[in-house]
Amino acid sequence: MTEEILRVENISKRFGGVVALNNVSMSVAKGETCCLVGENGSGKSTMIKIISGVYTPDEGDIFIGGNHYKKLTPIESIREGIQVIYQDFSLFPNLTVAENISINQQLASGKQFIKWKDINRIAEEGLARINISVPLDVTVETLSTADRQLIAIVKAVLADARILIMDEPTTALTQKEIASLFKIIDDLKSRGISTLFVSHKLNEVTEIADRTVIFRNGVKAMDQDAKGLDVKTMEFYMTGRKIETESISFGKVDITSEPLLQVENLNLKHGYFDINLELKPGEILGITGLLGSGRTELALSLFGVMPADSGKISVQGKEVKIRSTEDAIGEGIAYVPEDRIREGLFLDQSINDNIVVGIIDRMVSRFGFLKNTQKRIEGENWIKRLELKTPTGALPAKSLSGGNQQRVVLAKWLAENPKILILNGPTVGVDVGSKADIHELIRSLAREGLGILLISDDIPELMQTCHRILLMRGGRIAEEFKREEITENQLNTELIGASAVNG
Amino acid sequence: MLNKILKTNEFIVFMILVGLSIVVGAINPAFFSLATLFDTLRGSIVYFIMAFGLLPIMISGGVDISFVAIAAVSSYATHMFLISRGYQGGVFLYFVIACVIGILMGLLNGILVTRFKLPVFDVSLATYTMWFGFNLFFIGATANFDLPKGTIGYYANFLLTVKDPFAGTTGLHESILYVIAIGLFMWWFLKYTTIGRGVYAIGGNRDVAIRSGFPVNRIMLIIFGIMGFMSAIAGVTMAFLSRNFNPVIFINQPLDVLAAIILGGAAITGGRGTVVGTTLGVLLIQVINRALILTGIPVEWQRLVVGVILILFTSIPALRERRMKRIGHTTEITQPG
Amino acid sequence: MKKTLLFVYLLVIVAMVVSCAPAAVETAAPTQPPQQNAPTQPPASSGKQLVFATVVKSIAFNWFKRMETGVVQFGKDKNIKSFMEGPSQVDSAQQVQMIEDLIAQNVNAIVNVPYGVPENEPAQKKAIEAGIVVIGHEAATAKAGTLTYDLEAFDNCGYGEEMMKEMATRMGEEGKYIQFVGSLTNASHVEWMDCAKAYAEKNYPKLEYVARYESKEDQTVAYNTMKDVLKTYPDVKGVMGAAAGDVVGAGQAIEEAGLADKTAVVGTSIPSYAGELLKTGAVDLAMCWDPMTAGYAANVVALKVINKEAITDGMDLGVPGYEKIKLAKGPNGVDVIYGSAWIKIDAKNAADYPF
Repeated sequence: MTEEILRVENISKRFGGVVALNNVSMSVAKGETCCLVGENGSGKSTMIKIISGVYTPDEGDIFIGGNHYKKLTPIESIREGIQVIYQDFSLFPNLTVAENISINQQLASGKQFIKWKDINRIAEEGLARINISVPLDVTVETLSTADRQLIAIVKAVLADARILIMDEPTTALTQKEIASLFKIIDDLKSRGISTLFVSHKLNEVTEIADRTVIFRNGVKAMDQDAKGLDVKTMEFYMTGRKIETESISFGKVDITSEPLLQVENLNLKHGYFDINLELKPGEILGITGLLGSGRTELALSLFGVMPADSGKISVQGKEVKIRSTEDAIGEGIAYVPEDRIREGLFLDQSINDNIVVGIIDRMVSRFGFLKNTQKRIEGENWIKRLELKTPTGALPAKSLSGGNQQRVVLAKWLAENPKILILNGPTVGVDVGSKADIHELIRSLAREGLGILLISDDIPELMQTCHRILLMRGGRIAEEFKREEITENQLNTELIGASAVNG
Repeated sequence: MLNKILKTNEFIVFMILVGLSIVVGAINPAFFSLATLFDTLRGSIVYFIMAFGLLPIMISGGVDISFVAIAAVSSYATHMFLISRGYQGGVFLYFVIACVIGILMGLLNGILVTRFKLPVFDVSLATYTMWFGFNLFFIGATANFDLPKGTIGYYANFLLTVKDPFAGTTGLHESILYVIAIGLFMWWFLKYTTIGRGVYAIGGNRDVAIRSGFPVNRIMLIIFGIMGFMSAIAGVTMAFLSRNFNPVIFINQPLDVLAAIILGGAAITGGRGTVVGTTLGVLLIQVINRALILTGIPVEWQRLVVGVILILFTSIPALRERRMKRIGHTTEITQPG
Repeated sequence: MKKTLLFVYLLVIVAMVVSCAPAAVETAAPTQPPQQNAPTQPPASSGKQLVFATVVKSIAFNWFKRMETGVVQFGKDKNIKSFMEGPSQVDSAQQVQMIEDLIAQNVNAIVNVPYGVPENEPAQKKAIEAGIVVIGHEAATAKAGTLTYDLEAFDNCGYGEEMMKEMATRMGEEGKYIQFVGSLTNASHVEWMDCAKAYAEKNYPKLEYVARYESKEDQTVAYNTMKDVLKTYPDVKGVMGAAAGDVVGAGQAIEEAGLADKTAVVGTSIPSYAGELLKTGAVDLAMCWDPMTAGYAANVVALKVINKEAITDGMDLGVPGYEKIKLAKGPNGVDVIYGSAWIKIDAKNAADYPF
């Protein structure tokens, strides 16, 4: 077998009374791409922090390249060639690409003075090593997420990384960018650099992994060669239960009924062109496309954030003008944004407050005081209906996991009794178990007669929820598919193929 | 390359400065004279020194207002001490003692910020109030015009003078040399030292700076020490130029200095700011103040005019930034393989 | 170890700064032994010592330090708890806050020297409504009902005219002149300058008024302004200053320009500020009233009101310069008491006025 670079044995770590890791062992071989998979709270992050020296394990041993550590400091970890690419990429937005790349060398050298020629030289060499080119003198804040990630990888490679740890690296990337990231990982592998790839996007894992390790509740649930490992098996080990995708019950859509929402020849400069679509009661209509295809702009127009320049929108057969979010809400349209943390939730406020914020006028007594009891009743009602996992609605929203936070955002909008619900990336950053639950929730809302527009580039998600899927390219609706008439693979090809056209 | 320079904030401030100068000069041709240049520099000297001292703290993401109190206490306490000992020598000893006091006072802020993890602004608000109170209560409450013999002529140590038969003599004070030295030092410090780059790194992302291995606490202490040092120089210089030591000197000035730095392109949230920009910002504020008298705008209108000018000038860089964001700025990356 | 270092460091910083403070233990020494003047009038509310507070624009001026000696002396002479306070920088808002605090403390009398007269009026009115005697100084334009009395060292118009006479004589009664005021809302400053200007228009036809500038009571502002004035109006021959730092800043600028002999600088100031410039001739004449006697006299008025003594035209307050007071209505209705207490200081007599 190939040489082992990293091995941890019988690692345990507790935080107060909570066991984060319980007697876990794993290893990474030279040049291997090892995927570490698990739901939120399964212990993945704790393991990364132990390997990178941020946490000290309560018990266990760490072996790196033959050296034995009982505890590891961050500096020792870096010296042993372990490089973590955090989700924020550890970059300085205000500094140039060149400086960001070479700053570690500068610090490591202990030199007190800067030679800008050296800074640029180091950066050029680094970029050449993974064969990419980015202008050296632009500040990192002007770069796209994918470019920032590349800069972070260059930094790690330059630090003589033997193992690159990537924590959910594909979260904010487009399909095309993910593909090129995987090429880079393959390239690193050919030079003997191992990658520990942490993710819960299982279709990506099947694509990239040499070996897959799955954690569940702080213990290792599975560790095997990735060959022949399918998504269903992984889901089983992650959640400890079978997630049935075959037995999904889709609601029936009455084709003859009057459309809830009808859009004709809708245009927005620099956004989208000639959009025509129809949404029937009880229907889930998927809209997909790459970033920049106009899908988000379309959603924002229907919700009045970026009003359309021209075209006709009708709700239940009546033409309406949507110039603002107030207009949209008035027509019974609700929108759940992609970045729920930034746009949809008041993290420090209680769950109940978050749920009733949209209907606050209904919670106010004649004298202008907030009726707390009614607020609580309304909150508890939604908590039960959406199966939110929380002891009480009085806790702050930030105490919830990602999946549960997403439910609070949903509850907030559902409390307004909308007719049309627009969901943008409803399960971004949500783990597999919660994802399945949210999908079932979406389907059940449709069964109750809501019309749902689901914007997503998560193909399995579209296939498990939508009746019809519209594919957008360059601001136009390029194709329409019925779910029964297309497979995941076909849809994937169509979506990625769109990039060729987008150019 | 040229295109890049044209887009910098410094260039915009520079163009505003030039534009304003042309307008003022058109109304009063006396504006374009060496005398005006010398007077503007003379009026800017202490603001330059204080702004250069404060700049690294602004870049690191902190907003400090206590530097004026440091200037007042270090200079006034030094003076009252030396006067009480019958000191009759020159200015040098003043600078030495005041700088020691200033550095210690600056470090006090730094310790409170780094050890007790308090926000820079909160600390500085407390020390600002505390030091002015301390000055008035323990050291003295009144301006003192009683200068040692060796320092009396200092205000008139001119490098160059220009004579006008009517408007009289105007001189370029020698302290402009320290301003230049300090400016060059700060430029070098911020651009060519690892600590200086660390200041930008802290302002860009403090957590990442710590993670990358910058000695963040040491850097903060150093820049607070620099601030105290510069404030003391500014305080003593101001006192000798205006020929009196005042316990509440600059008490109303922190915003003028902050405004100059921000006009010069520093962000209140940190990560941005240059010596060149700060220099232009200080000059711009000086010229705005002078423009009102030179153009003969009645005093009743001055506050209104200053307010309007400030709104206009501060909004130009902001508008530009918004436009840049709207256009978006993406870089093409060649794919590997 | 580190904690010890920190402690030592703090000790050093405190020790250093305190050692620089020779005046720390010196308090304003009484000019007369306290028992010399036994209380002449018994306090109105018998048994309890009366409390008189004097509030000034800012305590950071020698001017008000001198006033404080009068305020303190008054307390000693009359056996009244009399003290002075004020913001560390000129600021109406802080001054109003201090008055509010004094109302809460239920003092018997407040003597107020307002920075901005209108801004202080509501607080003064509130004090009067709370039964406190409020005497103003440099506040003749106050509205009726916002002061019990206002006491002025002299009639503002007379002072302005006197200043104009002194400047005009030194200019040979011809040429351009400018004026400085501390702030445009300072009624006394504005009134002096308005009267001076009006007097010049009537009596010195060859004098030409150029402009009025605001020094914000800051000597440096006056300095920078004067520099620019010299460039904009190179033929300015006369400068009048209202605030104590105005002629100092303007005089420094004129001296540096080498124009001391060509320019007449006359205005309110005091020897400790303008002394050097009086010697070199950059400032030709400093005019002022003695804040010590003004502070003393204002408190005397307060005491007389509390003792229900009538204030009458021509009466003697028993304070130099206030032997024969004039009573008049201010422009906005407040009762104003005028003394005739101005003094003129030049290079020769500066040593007689140690403030």
